[in-house]
Amino acid sequence: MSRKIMIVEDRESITTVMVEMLNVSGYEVVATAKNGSEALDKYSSHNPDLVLLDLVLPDISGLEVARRILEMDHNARILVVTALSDEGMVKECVDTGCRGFLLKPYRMVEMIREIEKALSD
Amino acid sequence: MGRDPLSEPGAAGRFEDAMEAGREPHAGARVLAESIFEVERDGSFKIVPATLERITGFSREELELLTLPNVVLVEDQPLAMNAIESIFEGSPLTIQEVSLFSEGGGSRPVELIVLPKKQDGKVSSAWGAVVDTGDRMALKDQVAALTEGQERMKEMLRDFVNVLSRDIRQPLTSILLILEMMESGHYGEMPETSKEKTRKLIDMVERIKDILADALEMSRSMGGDFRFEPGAMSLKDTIEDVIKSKENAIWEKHIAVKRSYREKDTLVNADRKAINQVVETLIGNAVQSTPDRGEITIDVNSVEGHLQVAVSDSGEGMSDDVVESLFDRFDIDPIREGGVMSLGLGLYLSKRIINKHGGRIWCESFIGLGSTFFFTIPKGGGA
Repeated sequence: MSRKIMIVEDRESITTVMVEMLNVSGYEVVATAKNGSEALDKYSSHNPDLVLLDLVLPDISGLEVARRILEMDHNARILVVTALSDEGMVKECVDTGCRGFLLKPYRMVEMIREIEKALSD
Repeated sequence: MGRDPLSEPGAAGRFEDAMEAGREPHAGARVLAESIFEVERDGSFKIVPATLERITGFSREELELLTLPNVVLVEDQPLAMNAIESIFEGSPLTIQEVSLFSEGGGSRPVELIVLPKKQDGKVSSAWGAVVDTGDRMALKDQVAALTEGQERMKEMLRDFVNVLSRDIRQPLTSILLILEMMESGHYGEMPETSKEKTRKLIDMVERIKDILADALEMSRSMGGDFRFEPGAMSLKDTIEDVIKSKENAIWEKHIAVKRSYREKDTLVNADRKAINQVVETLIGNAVQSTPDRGEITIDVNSVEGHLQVAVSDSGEGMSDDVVESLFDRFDIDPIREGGVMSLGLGLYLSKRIINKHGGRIWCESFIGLGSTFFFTIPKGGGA
């Protein structure tokens, strides 16, 4: 059975091609969210195996979204996917309980490697 | 120092003459001409209306030798008095951060310049001048404001590069993913030439990614504030990790990467991230420069207490002029077939990183034969 993934990303151009890429690679994208509050709503209704989470969102920060998801579900698997290369932020994400970090732009093979790592932990 | 020398008459205008024979006051300081004084061993002093030579008994030449005083920083007057005591040992002194109190109860920051006075070849007493440092204080404030402004500018530059980098990375993500999907045939099969061009575009996006990383590192290191966290690290692991991270580009160009670890012990005490960046720059450049089905050789050897890494490509090579300025800041590589490629930022940073680790980085290149980049790191040494 393919693993269920939710994408939280405010840029539609990125979401579209991510969905294509994940589908081609054998994952099922069960939900996409353009902002933090949508992400929180959709997490509870779709219960994905992994969340690909952008840190910069229009309403609440990705870090806050990660915290709230982990409050709802301690076993939630979150992989941060961001264009920010702030080491402090990476540390904070990991401390919060995120499983990994992927810096944009990334290659398909890097993305799959990080997804598999986050899912296997 | 119980009296206010400013209240003493008689010496106005004489200090200019005196200073000709002695030292210039510090930049930004104004000598209070009325305040030339003579200090006795008991701490008492009097105003002396004479030139320096006459006052001190030193010749003009001797006075010039005395213009390199020991500078003693004194924060309060008792300490200042103690410091004055040492003048009788024969050394000239500049005593800073002294407050002069007036009879009206006010105070002002002053500096005391004190020179020994010689009589019959011996130091008998001392003479000095009170220098108003009010202007210098103002100058200090200006310098502090300028420094603060400079720091703010650096911060703004860092923020700017951060934002710019983030904003470029977003569209690059879409571009890279779409190119990869195109190349994999997801949007329909392409002729081989189109696939090849697509792979070249992917390489270029990878290059932009590296330039962005260098620009970020550059903005962080402006002003020399590299933050190194040295620790035990394996150069071999770093090299292998970098090769692995470049495996797509290497595979796409069918490049053979040969390794020769002639020195088995590749442990060094260095900043893992910084050295990784250097190795990434050198191997990245080698991949860029090497033609399809070319070869890259990486050699690690022990040379005079250092580990020496050599990365050789089978590219076109560079002229001596180009090699000479390769490690200069913002240097631009010459136009090659296929476009302009900037090597400057990455190599400039690499040089700073390697120098900071006590090593050396250089390049040897021959037109038509390719280039070899070398760097060394002290064994067991580090940042």
